[in-house]
Amino acid sequence: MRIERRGTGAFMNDRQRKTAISIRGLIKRYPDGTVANRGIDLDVFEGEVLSILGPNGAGKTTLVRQITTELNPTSGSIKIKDVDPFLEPLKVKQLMGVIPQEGALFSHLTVCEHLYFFGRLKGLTKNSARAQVDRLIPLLSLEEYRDKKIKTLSGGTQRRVFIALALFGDPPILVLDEPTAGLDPVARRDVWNLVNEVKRWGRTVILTTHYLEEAELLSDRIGILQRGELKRLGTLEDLYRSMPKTYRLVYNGVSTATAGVRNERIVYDAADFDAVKKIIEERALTEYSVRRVSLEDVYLELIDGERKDDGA
Amino acid sequence: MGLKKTISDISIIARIYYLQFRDQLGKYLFSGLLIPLASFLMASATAGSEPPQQLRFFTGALLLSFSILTIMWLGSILIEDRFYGRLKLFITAPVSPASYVLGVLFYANVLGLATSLGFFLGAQILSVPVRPQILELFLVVFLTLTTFAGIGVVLSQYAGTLQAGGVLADAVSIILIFLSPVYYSMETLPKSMQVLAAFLPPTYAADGISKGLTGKTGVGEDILVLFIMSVITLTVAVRSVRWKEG
Repeated sequence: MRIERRGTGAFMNDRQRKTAISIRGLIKRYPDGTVANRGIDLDVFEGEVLSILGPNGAGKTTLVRQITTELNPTSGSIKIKDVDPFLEPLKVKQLMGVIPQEGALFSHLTVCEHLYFFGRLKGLTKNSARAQVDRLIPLLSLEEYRDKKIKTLSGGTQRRVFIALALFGDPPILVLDEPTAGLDPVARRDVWNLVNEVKRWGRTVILTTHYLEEAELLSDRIGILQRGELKRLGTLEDLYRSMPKTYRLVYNGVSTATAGVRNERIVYDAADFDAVKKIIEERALTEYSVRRVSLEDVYLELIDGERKDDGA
Repeated sequence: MGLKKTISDISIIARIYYLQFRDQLGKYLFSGLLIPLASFLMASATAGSEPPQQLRFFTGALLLSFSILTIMWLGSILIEDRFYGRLKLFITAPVSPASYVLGVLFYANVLGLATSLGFFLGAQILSVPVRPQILELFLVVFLTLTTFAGIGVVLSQYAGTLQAGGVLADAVSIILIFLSPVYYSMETLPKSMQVLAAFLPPTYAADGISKGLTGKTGVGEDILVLFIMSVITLTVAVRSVRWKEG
């Protein structure tokens, strides 16, 4: 099993980019002995969308909760725009809009009241809070729900309200912990469109997700956490290149692997396209499909590989 | 975070809870007014309606109302906020735990003081003989509500589960009232219970309210004890709020 770790400074141009979130040697050990983060080094750059992937229990939410100041790290450091969240938590919270994984809205408030009150809690004056309510409601297509109580809204619409709350006060950083969990495909796509819109405004977004498609669509870079360690970090292209074999050829042919001669679907993985071409020519294939590895292949190779290493 | 932001946060948090109250007016009338009023009428009917007894039962009903509103009801709302994830909205906003607790206490005080006014109007209708000393009564009621709401906050933070928290809030609100000499005098309690009652806030709240309603002297001692109890409860409440773990 080949584990490639791409940390800070892995790319030449990373050094020229401004860092929004800087994490060094982050370790989180819970009182019951569970180590959820094991020495994470990570830079999130200004204006990028960074997705954190990983199976349940990989340490994604623990990482996010340390960034949002909800958890103290056991050791290591986090800097948000050069501010230490453990020394100045309220200052850091003003730099961030957060959608917590298990957060819920106050169901008795109307959309307008909810946005206004939490805008005021972010430190906005009455007038600027009202102005932002007026700006964000159309932006998030919430006009028809403006005076509706939260409890009457669908899950997807409530998620849009959550995003509006996170955007209140124009924070430079957004932390979205599984923002589309539990949403239907249409609502999920709405959220993706919003994240893409936010990205165009130049905000830094760090999001955790279980949906590989979501990470592929939204991210500039992707990190894969496994058992508290950041096993991969890079652009999609970097992640593809981290695989030993990056092309997959599928064709119908005669296999000798099983007893007797049978016509079967054959999958052939190759390190480069030339190797694939060679097979096609050698076997004179007329019907076949060739594709590059996907994020799912990278993810599964990493996660399954770890399981095999454990003898699972 | 300046003082202005802190005051603004406290008032906004109180307003958020007030709007929840707006939605539950029927529940308020039932649990905050009707149940205590029923307890007053029942006690008067069974134990006599002489002025001193009426006054004691009236004080008991008022304290029962405070306990139901702040420990049982508000405590349950705060427990739900914690377990349903609404508390996360405050935790991830630039709001300090102290502002959150003070906002909750502010709301509890406004609700309790408005309820007290309703009770005093009711006292006129029911011919309960009251000659209130407004300032002393206000202080006793304010400190009692602060202490009770502080207990509600603490319970909401230490509850292990949503269900356990609900049961705990109900039990504490009732036990506090019925273990303290609220509907009866301290002397009628067994010695061991008298020792326990000396540590319970309703003991001093009942004494202070009774004295404040009849114009008797000696409310200062009750105010002092309630002040100490409210400071302790407030401190524990602020420290108990889990803005950060581990």
